[in-house]
Amino acid sequence: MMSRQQRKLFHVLAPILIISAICALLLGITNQFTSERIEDNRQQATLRLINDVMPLTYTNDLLNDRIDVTDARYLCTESAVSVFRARQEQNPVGLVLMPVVAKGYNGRIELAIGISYQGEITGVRVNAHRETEGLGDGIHQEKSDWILGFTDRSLANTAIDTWAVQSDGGDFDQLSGATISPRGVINAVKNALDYYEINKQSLYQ
Amino acid sequence: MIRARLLQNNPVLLHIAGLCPLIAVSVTLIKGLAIGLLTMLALILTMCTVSAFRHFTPLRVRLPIILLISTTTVTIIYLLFQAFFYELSVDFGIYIPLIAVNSLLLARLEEFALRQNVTTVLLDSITCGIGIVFIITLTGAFRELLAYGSLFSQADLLFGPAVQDRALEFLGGGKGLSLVAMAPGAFISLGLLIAALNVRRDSGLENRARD
Repeated sequence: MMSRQQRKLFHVLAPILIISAICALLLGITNQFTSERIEDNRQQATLRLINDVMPLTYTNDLLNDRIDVTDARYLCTESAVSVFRARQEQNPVGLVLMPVVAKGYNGRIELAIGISYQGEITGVRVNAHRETEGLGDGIHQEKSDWILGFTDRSLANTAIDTWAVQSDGGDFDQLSGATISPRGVINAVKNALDYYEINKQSLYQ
Repeated sequence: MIRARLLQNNPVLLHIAGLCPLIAVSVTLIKGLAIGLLTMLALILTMCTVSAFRHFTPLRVRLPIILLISTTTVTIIYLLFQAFFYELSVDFGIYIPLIAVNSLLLARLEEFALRQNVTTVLLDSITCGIGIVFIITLTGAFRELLAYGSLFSQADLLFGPAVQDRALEFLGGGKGLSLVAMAPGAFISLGLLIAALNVRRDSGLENRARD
């Protein structure tokens, strides 16, 4: 038989245990039902971004032709950056680096950068940022066309010291009221191109 | 009763603290509507569940049980939301899970749901939820109008591609007052709205007093 104290404990614990069990069951079922769809949504979103920065034709399943690289010096992040390789038949067409981290006014700016095999930028998009509303957020494709200015740039057609905003003597427009955000993005894109030139061969393997 | 909830006894006006995380993401009318509906759904489901289990809940452990129920409900809602409204869920981020520990919700759960039967709680949370949706959508609309000069932009995120690009554009769709789109602007907008509602309520009271 249970003592009085044990019974008291039981009366408190039993409801918690039963409700926890019901909750766990419900969560499990919901997770089972939604996980595939959520994963699918996530891939769709990634693919949409990739296609935005990689307009060249490719024939491979780019989303699964992927390696992870780390390079704290050129890619400005300790964590892994995904490289999606675009190929036509067996020939490399270009690749997409994401997320490349740029230093913004308000923390990290995450970029997706598309580079053709010859080393020209095919597109840059902002994936996530926390720049100031109305000023620095002009780097985002939905707020202004600024980021489209990178298309077709390469280390060959844009001299090293012109990878800067115009007020720094460079070749890129600045956003009124915000120089730090564009500066960060320009640096990140240039560094990504440097990284590409150095590692070009190994990136397609 | 709805009128009373909307204008005189709106829980949102009374428990402004509970609103802060909701207000933060209501940058546009559609986003305000979405986060409002999510909160309303979470409110109704948790309130009713807690009420249904109230005879089964020992007084001493009511808080863990309330938290367990609210976090589970909100997690389920979050998962479903991610499955069907992925872009909005990315946009809202942490603010959806945060509904589970919303002070407004927890206070009502403990003070009200544990003491009333399910029907009363259901009716109360529906009216209360409508109050929340109303005020947050209104804040969202106000902010969208001032910051972006539009209304109903990105409606497709909530209602599907059929309503894409149906946004109403004012001011030529140009740049508006960007302060309103930032977090401080959210609180200023809410403050102005509350002031407007208070003026309305006070003038209503005066009229009634005169009659």
